[in-house]
Amino acid sequence: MNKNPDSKEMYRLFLAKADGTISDEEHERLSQMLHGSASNRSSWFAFQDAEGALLAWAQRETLANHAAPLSSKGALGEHTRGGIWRFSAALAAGIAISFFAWGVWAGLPMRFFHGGTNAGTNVESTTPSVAVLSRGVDMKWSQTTGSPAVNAPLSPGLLHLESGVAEIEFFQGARLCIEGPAEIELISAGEAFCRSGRFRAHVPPQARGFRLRTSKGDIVDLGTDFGLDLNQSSPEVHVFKGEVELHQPKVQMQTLTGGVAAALNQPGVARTLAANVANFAFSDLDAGVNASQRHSFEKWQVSSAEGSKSADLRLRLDFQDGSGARSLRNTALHGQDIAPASIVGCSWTEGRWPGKHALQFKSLSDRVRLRVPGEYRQFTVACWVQLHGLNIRQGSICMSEGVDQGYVHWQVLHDGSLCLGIGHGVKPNLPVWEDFISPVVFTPERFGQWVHLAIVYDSAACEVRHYVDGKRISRHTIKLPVVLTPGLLELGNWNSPPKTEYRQQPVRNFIGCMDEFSIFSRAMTDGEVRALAQ
Amino acid sequence: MPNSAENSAASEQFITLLNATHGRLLGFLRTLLGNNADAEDVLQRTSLAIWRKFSEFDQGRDFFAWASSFAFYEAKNFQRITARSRLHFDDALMERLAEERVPDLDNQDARFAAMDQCIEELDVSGRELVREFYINNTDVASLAERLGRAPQTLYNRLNTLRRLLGECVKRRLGPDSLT
Repeated sequence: MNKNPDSKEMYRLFLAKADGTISDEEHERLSQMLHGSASNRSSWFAFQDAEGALLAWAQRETLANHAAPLSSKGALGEHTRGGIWRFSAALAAGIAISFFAWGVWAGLPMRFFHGGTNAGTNVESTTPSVAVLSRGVDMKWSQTTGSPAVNAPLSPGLLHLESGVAEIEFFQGARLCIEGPAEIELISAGEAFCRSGRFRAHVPPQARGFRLRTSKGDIVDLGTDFGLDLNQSSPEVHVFKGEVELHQPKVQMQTLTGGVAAALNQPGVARTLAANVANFAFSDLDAGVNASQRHSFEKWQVSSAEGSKSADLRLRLDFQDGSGARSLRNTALHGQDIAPASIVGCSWTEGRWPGKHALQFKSLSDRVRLRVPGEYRQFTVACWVQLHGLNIRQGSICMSEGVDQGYVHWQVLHDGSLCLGIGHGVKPNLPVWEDFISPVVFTPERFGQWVHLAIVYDSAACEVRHYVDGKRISRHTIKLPVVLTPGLLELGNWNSPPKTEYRQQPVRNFIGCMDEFSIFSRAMTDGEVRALAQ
Repeated sequence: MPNSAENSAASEQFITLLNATHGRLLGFLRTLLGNNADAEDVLQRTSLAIWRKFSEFDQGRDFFAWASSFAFYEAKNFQRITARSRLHFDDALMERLAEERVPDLDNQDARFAAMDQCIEELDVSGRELVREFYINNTDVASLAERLGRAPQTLYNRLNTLRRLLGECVKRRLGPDSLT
C-alpha cells in the first residue's frame, strides 16, 4: 500500500470532519480508517490537538491585538454575550468555558466565577521592572526618554531628568535621590550607571552591594548613605555613614568610610575631603513633596469648581463628600435632576493627594448605585481609577443594571483591556451587544497607580474612542448607533437583569479605588479629554 | 442536608477539580466529536451534570476518570439529539477512541506548546489568516467574502498552513512522543 497518498487523503478527511464539510461517503471512509488502525487514531488525536492549540492561540492573539472583530455572526457583526464569554473564557484555559453562556449559571455556586486569571495556564507573568519611582518634586523629564509617573515601575534603561528631584527605590532596597539635570541608566535591581547629575543613595543592610557606576569608576555600597556629584569638573563621592568601596580602572580598590569624600578624576590619589552633607540637601524631599501635593490639590479644587458649571456635564461625583458619607452628591450644575449616588459597602481612602478622597472597592458587595435618566446620542464618560489586580474575568467600572437596548457596560477585562459594551436589546432570548475592546491597558506594572480613563461614544463620527491618561489609545467604528440610556448604573459592580430568575449574580466587582466620575452629554475631542486628565 | 459552609467548601473543591481538568476534558471530547464547537457544547452539559452529581464523587478516585465517563455519556447523548444534522462516529469507534485518548492526553500540553512555537514560524499574512479562520468559527465563506478572495483558494491556502503547522509540531516533538 502506498502510504503517502493514503495519509494525505486521511488528513483531508480530518480537515473535512473538523470543518463540518465532510460528505456521508467521506465520513464512512474516515470511520473505517480510524477503526482500522491505532496509528490512524493516534494521528487523529494529534490532529485534534493541533486544532485545539490553533484555536487557543488565535483567541489569545486576538485579545492581545484587538484588531479584529470578535465574531462575524449577525449582519451587524454583533455577538451575543454568551459568545464573548465563551471567547474570553477560553483564554484562561482551566475555566469551564461554556458555563459563561447565559442561562446556565443559575444554580451554580457563585464562587465558580472566581477562577483567577492564571488559574489554568502554565505561564507565569513576568516583569522587566527593577525599581519604582517612589516620589518626586517638580519633576520634568526629557521627552526622549519618557516621563514615568509616580509609583510607576521602572525597567532597565535611560532616564533623563531635566529638572526637579526624583526618588527611585530599587527592588533590592536601595533608595536613590536624583537632582536634575541628571542622566542615569538603570541596569538591574541593584545597579545603575550615572552619567551626570547629583545623587544621594541610602542603602539599608539588605541592599548591601548596591553599585553605582560612573565613567570614572564604580561605587559599591556596603550599607550606608553616600552622595555622588557628577556636576563638578572633578566628580566626587561623599560618604556620610558606613562604608563604600571605590573601584577605579588600573588602581587598587579604595575603601571610604563615613565623613570622607574622594575626587574621582584622580584615581588612586588618596586625596580625602570632608564629606559635605549640605551639598546633597536636595534629597530631603518631604517638605517639597507636601508643598507640591498641596499645590496640585488646590489647582484641582479650582478647576473642579469651574468644570462643574459646564453645560454638557450631566454628572460629576467628586468624591469629596467627607469620610463616613454614605452617598455621593452630583456636583454638576446642569445635572441636578440626578439624585445622589448611594454607597453600598466600600471604604473611604485617600485619593490622588492628601485631602482628596476616594472610594476603595474590595469586596464582592462594594458598589455605588445611581440613576442617570435621559437619552444620549453621544457621551463622554471619564474617571480616575487605581486598579489593584485582575483576578476576575470582568470588573465593572460602570454598568447599567440589566442588558437592554441602549445600556452601557464599561468594564476591565481580565487581560487588562477595557471594554465598552452597548446593548442592542434581547433577540430572541440572548442579549446582543456591540463591544468595543481597547488594547491591554492594565499590565501588572500599572496596578496601584492612578490612571485617568475616558470613553467617548461619538455617533456623529460613528466611532467609540478609548483614552488612558488623556491619550487616545484606540478608536472603533460603531456598526449600529443606538440611543444610550444608562438608567440605573452601578460603579464598581453589576446587578444582572433584575427580571430574570437567576438566583446567583455574576461576580463583576472592581478591585481598586475610584475617584472623580463624570458623564458629559456630548462626544469630547482628543484635546478636551487630554485637558480632563490633567 | 449539608450546611452552607460545607456547600461552599464543596463548590470550591469542585471548581478547583474542574479547572484542573478542563483542558483535558475538552481535548477528550474534541476527538470524539471531531470539532471544537460541539466539544465545547458537550463540555458545558458535562460540567452541569457532574456538578449535580458531585456529592456522589468518591474523593479517593481520579477526578478526570470520573468526569470523562460523564463526558463520554454526554457526547453520545449529544450525537443522538443531533443525529439528523451531523454525521457521527459509531458507538464502537467512540468507545475505542475514548479508551485510547485517555493515555494520549498526556501529550496534549506538549503539542500545544510546540504549536505556539510553530505558529511563530509563519509569516504575518499566514498567521493573520489562521487567526481569522479560528476566531470566526472556521467559517471560510464569510472570511473569503470579507477578504475579497475566492473561498476555495482561501481554504486551500489555509489547509496548506494547517498541514505545515501539524508537520512542524510533529518535527518538534520527535517521532517517539506520539505514541
